[in-house]
Amino acid sequence: MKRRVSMWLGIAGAVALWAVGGLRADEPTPLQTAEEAAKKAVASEEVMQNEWNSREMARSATREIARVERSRSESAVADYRRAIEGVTAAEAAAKAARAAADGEPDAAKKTPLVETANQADAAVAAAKANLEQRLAAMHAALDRLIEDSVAGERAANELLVSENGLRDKMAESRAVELKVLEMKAASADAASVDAAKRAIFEMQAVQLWERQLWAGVQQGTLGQIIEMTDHAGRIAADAATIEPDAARKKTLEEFAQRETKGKTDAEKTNGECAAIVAKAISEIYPLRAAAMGGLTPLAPEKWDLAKARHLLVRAGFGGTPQEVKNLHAMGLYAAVDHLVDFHRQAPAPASLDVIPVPLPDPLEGKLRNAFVRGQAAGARNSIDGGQFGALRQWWIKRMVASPRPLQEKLTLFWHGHFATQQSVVQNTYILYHQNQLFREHAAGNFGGLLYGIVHDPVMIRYLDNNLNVVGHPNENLAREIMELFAMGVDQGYTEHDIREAARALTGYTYDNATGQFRYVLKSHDPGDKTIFGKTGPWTGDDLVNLLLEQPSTARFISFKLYEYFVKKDPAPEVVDKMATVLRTNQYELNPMLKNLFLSEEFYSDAAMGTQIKSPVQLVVGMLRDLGAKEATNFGQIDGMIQEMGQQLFEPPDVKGWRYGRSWISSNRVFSRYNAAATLANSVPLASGASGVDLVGLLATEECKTAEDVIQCLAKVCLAKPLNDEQRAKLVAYLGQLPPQAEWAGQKDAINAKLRNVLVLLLCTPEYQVT
Amino acid sequence: MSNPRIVTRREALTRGMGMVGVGAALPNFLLKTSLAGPETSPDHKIVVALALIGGHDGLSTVVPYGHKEYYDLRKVTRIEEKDVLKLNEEVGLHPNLAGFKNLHDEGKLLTVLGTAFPNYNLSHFTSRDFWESATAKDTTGKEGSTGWLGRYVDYACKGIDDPKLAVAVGPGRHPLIITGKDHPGIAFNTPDTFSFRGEGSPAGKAVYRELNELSKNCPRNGDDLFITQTAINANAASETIRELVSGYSTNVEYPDTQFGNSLKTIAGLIGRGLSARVYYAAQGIAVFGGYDTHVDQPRRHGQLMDELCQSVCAFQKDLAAQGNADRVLTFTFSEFGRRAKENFSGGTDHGLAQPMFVIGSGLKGGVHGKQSSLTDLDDDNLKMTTDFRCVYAAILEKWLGVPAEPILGEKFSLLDCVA
Repeated sequence: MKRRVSMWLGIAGAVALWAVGGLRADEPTPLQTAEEAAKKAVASEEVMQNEWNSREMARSATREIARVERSRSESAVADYRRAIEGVTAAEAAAKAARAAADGEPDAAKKTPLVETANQADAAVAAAKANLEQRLAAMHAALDRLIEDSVAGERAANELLVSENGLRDKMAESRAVELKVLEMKAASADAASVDAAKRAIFEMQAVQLWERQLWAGVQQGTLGQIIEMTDHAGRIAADAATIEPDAARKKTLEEFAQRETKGKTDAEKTNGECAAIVAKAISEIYPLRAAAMGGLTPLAPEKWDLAKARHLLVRAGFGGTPQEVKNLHAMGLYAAVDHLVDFHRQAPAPASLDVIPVPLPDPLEGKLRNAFVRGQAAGARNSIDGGQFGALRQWWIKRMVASPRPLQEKLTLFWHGHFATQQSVVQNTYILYHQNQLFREHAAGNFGGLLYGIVHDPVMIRYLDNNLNVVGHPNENLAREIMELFAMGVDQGYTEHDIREAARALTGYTYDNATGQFRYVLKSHDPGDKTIFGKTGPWTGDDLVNLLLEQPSTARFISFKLYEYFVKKDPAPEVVDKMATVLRTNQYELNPMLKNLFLSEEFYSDAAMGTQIKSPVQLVVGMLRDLGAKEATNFGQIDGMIQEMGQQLFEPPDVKGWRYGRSWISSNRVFSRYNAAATLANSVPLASGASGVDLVGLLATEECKTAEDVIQCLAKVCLAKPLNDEQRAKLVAYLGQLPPQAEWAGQKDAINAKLRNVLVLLLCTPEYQVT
Repeated sequence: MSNPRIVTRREALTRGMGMVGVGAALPNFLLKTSLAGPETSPDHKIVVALALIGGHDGLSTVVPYGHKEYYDLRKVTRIEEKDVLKLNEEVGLHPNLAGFKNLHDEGKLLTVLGTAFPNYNLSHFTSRDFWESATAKDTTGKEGSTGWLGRYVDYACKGIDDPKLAVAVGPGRHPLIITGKDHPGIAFNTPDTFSFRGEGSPAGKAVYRELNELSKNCPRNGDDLFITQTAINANAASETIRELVSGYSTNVEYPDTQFGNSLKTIAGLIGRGLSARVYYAAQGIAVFGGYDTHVDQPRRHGQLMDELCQSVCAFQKDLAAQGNADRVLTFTFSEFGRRAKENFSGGTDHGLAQPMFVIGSGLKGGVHGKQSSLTDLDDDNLKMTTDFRCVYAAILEKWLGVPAEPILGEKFSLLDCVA
């Protein structure tokens, strides 16, 4: 930090000098000089890059040769070893045969034995001749091994030096470029100073990233040196043990030592490179954040178990104490990457086949009696009704069990953001596809979501855009897309914009039979429309682009995501920073979400433990926290969530769920308490057991006393500690327990006892927030 | 920072301690436990607010059949003159409001024409909050927002820490209109679901109640307090409410719909002497889209009119049988009326001015206010002729007998509608 400040002062001074000094017109300005230097630096970087390329080719070739020689030497050594064994065996056989012949008194019998002994002697001679050949072959192979290994290693080491040089060269030219940027920032006007400063952070991040990437490349080179020296050294050492010639033996031993040293050196350098990579990774996160104009990341040393739990709860739904420990062990940066780059985890173990409602049988219309015709239609439509419950339960199961919890949590966010109701659209098939759209783009691109929603049969049906045709505009979708989906109420649009946008959306409809989007050209109003002051023959697709150009759109989405994940009422400058990250990344959500989950704001006291749980969060979080992911009663769970005021695919209206205090009313307090108690006591699990297994859950924790048990349960369930009086009441109510080691033997009885206090813990105001 | 510690009234009494910490800045209801039983005063006046969810088409509810322009604007969604239940030369009721016509003839129905809000907004949500908060500031979704009936209870029942002074019945969120700063009110769907059933043993139940009370000691913020007090209020009110409703029987038949049942529950609570001063129920929540009839309006709006009329008339009949009809004033409101000209989908889009109904004894029944012009439109919308807060002001001053200004925040001329 200090360094940067003095650098700023230096530049400011230089600029001031230049301004005061009154340079002659034909002399280059300091900025021009710096730009010229930057250009030269980049050019000389290119020269070095070319040199590196040829060294890389040389290294590649020598490495192959050395590898072949090693393999050849290995065979030669083995052959020689077998030849030695062959001679030893032949000599032993000859000795035995000769002894047998010599010991035979009967002349008649002796003759064939002498013959055999002679043959054995001949075999010994042959084995010795083979031994000579093998030894010569081994010498030849080892001579080449030593020569080619040394050449290969030299090439690799030269490459390494070249990499060092190139790395430093690149760092140097970044430094020169940085200087140009700093000079530009120092003289930037108010309007462009932020962007100019971001460019500096960007260049610093690039510098670090290049350093990290080069260190990674060097680790590759070093890995090969380690492999070469290790292998060649072992071959030489092995060969030395059977080498008969003393001088050669010495050479082999020296070569083996040389290789061992080479390996040790390479390993040391490799460790240094790994340290560079690790350091660059930890330094690059804050720089990346600053370069994108984002929020300041939390200092990694402040990362603790409570924060890991907070992240797991908010960027997912929750987890057992062991899962929290695992996430904590990753460290802050890797933990955030782990949750946000969720495509790296396995998908959720839940599948569902949803089929469209079949079209009427051609005969159906010919049924004369209205009653039986209704029966036939009812049988068809019942397919949809039956699927709908399955769809909700499928989704709840995904939220409970998915290894990608953030994907589901974001899917729920987008469902509440682009809210539609099954009671209005009455079509499970298209709702399922809409849900998959939200899942697919969950942390993808907001532009993709907005484009998707304009073409989404559910939304088109829900907001009557199928009735929006040229000459007869229906502005329902146009209004909500501005007010609720993109810009926010009264954020930079007029009633006129809405009416014109409605005209742009004419002809965007869907096919009832197939459940697919349709653009009907003859229903579209091809005339010019003026939206946000821009005039053209806009379509719905154009409208998406026009909306993304509005600064209020990035701010509104940032605002809503902040409220969903962090807390209510974000400071405007926090929203602005998030919006800048969103725009810097062309509305990609992933970098913005990472920046948010790393940020100091996300882990602030005002954010941690202050969110009122939605019904979904309450139930899904409870099952995840208490290790009951294998629940099987998703129908019952769905009913509980509904009673608490959150039916999936049925938000209250197009504005979606309001979250926060809206979940809490005198009635809903009871719905929440009663559901939590029922699940804790009797949730049926895939194992056949019922009720949460607290004995199993607490096995990873130390619970010596009743006090410990209450503390552990409170830590598992609550984001903030119980007060002393509450804890004392629970400890007293729990009473005495046998030592934890004996719990497994009386699991059912202990579980029953523990669940009694768990229920009391869950049915508190404290458990309603996280 | 040390946690604010709130002293319960019981503690204050037994230990003689004063309020400490952040107490002074907190609403009353967050400071006190709710030990008070039903404060039955047999003569207090009651207001029942009925929300018509979705933004209702006033031109189909109170039809300006005397204006020929109406029939120019409405082709599919019109009510033919022959079907209109005429109130005067100019306007009449939807044919499904026959019961309302009877009330009108008895002087118990007040129809206020052209009501709206000067800074109107065509969003369902912002607009509903305007009608419920009755303040000029947009307090949509803001923490600590209050509704005008909630502020009335705060004003009239200052110092009474009874959680049951404002009651909402039915599904959906806790309505803003009955939410006061000191009296957030009780909201429940049905009395049966309104109880804690998580722990069977008496000892466990006792610990449950104690733990919930103890939560008050370490709130970190307003949300913590809000949840705690809501839980305490719920525990305190649950038994009373279930007891009152289960002990009520009536011969009056209500429509067996969510809205009908909500009104029946309210009638039971009034009949059994619950302390509540204000009630709320909503029509249209359990119906697809409610009054938001962008399409298929005549059928949907007609059904809702039928349910509204049957339910409210049963409610009035029930109150009369109880002898409480003179104590209760009921009014309807919706977030907005609908566009003057119908759309091409057999429906209407969001509009502005709408009629309100006020029902009860002691009213100057009849048609009040002025029908919005059907030709002089504001951006295709019917213009406001009566600020709805003039109706609220009249209810406050003339019916409830409290000054309106401190509750509405501004002075309004009273609509001359309460005797």
